[in-house]
Amino acid sequence: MNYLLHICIMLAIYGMLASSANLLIGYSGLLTMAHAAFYGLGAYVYALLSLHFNWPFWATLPCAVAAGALVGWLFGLAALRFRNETFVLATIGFQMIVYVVLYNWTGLTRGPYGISGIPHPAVFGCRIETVPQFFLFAAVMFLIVLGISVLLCRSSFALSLKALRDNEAAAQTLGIPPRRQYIRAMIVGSALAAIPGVCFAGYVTYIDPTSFTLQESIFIASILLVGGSGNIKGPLCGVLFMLILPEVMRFVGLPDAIAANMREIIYGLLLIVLMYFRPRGLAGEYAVK
Amino acid sequence: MNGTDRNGRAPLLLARNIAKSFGDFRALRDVDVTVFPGRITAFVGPNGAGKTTLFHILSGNLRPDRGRVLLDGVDITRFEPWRIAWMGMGKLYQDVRIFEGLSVLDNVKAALLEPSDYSILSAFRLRRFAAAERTRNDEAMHYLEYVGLGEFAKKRGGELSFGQQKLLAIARLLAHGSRLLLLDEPTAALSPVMTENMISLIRKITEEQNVSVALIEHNMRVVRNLASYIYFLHEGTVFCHGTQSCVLENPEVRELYMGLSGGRME
Repeated sequence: MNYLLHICIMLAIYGMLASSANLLIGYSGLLTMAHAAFYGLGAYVYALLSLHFNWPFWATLPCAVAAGALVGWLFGLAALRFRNETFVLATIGFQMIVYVVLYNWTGLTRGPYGISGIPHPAVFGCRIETVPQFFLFAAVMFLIVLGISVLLCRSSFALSLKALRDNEAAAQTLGIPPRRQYIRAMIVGSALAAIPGVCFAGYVTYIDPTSFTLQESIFIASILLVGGSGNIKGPLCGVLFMLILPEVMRFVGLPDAIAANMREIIYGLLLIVLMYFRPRGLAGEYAVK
Repeated sequence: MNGTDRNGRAPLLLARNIAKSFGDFRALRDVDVTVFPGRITAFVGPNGAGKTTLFHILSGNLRPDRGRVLLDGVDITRFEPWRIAWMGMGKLYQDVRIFEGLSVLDNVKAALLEPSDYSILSAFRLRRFAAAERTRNDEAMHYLEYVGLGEFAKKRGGELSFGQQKLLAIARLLAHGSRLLLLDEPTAALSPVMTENMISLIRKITEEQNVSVALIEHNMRVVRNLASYIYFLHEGTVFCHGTQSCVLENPEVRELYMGLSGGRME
């Protein structure tokens, strides 16, 4: 039972990550490879404030969101001078810098040793410790982030982003300021990405930089490529596919000696086939370029 | 041409001493252009004459090496295109550039957004959003019907034909409230029927919407049908400008543009 609930918690965490990345990748056309950096930022802000200052969950969460928004804004100011491939490279660079800082600033982050003993969050005086409790907590957080994403994605703000995504020059002839809108998208996307970071740190109670690597950012982008982006359901389909498929493949009955490698190969092949036949992903509206 | 037109109106758009080079290639050399309100001004000339470069400079897509552009007397030379759009100048690109992933209706609704609609907080003003959305839908439909695309409102922009995409792009510019349209080859690659529709539409918007038009065009029939003033560009300079008869009957223009030594330029 706890195994299934654990998968559901991870679905909720990645659901929040995918929904926030969707605002950048699906609505703005900004293929970011730095989303795990903001996810990690949220996790570290929660871990440090709750561990060293005994700050309660309700105080650390806004701080993590604010830190995500602030760093997203600063990063956006620099990176959104670039577009397309150069923007992707800038995000990879940023992701690597964040990883190196987390790994080497041992005085603050304990580097490769990670931070252990992170307190579980407490909501309304009730400490969330067991897996079922955490499942409910993660579900509520997921619904909040999903609700915010739905409002954002139906808004005129999102329409301006989609116009820029489809053709920046044409959108400018209608008065839409590209840099300003992209930076706003970066602020919101980064702020929302910090929330699953807080949930993750509070759930596993131990974090180290290896959870927030470039590979993790690529995984988040892959969720959107596979599930689709530019609408609400695409990222959610992607999360279900990308998280449940590996679990299902555990039960395929492959010989133990090759099971792990074969699972990776089958997984990779399925992704390639999917991209070939459905460039917009399983349920998306936008084909990532 | 620096002062007012014969009706006493001040110029809408003024470009002075515009120069632009790409490496060693001098695309524009001290070009002076004046566009008056309420008239259709055509820019003609052979390929490579600098017409599209001039339009890119007028619309803020390119910065000139030298010279100034004034819209309603305001120096817009260093303005970004979106700011120029808010000052009332819209541009139709040669390759149209519609929002292919959006519905035809949403293409026009994007043009109806106000600066306050761009804010993140707009997503949380639910009641205001619902009311504004209804108004935007109605207005967008009005502009689509005006250009004859009402029945395609729910289609994706990318599903329209090239000619329909041009009409959609013009509907967007009208919806945004552009007072001056820069149209880069509005009839290029259109069928004869669609060309006629486009000519009618351009004439209609200048007469009914109080919109002025500056267009680049190679089709001389279109120019003769629409333009009241013509600039002939050649090798990055304004070779001559004036009324239709003044420019199109000029033997040197005919020689340079069409290789004609006599007869009528069609």
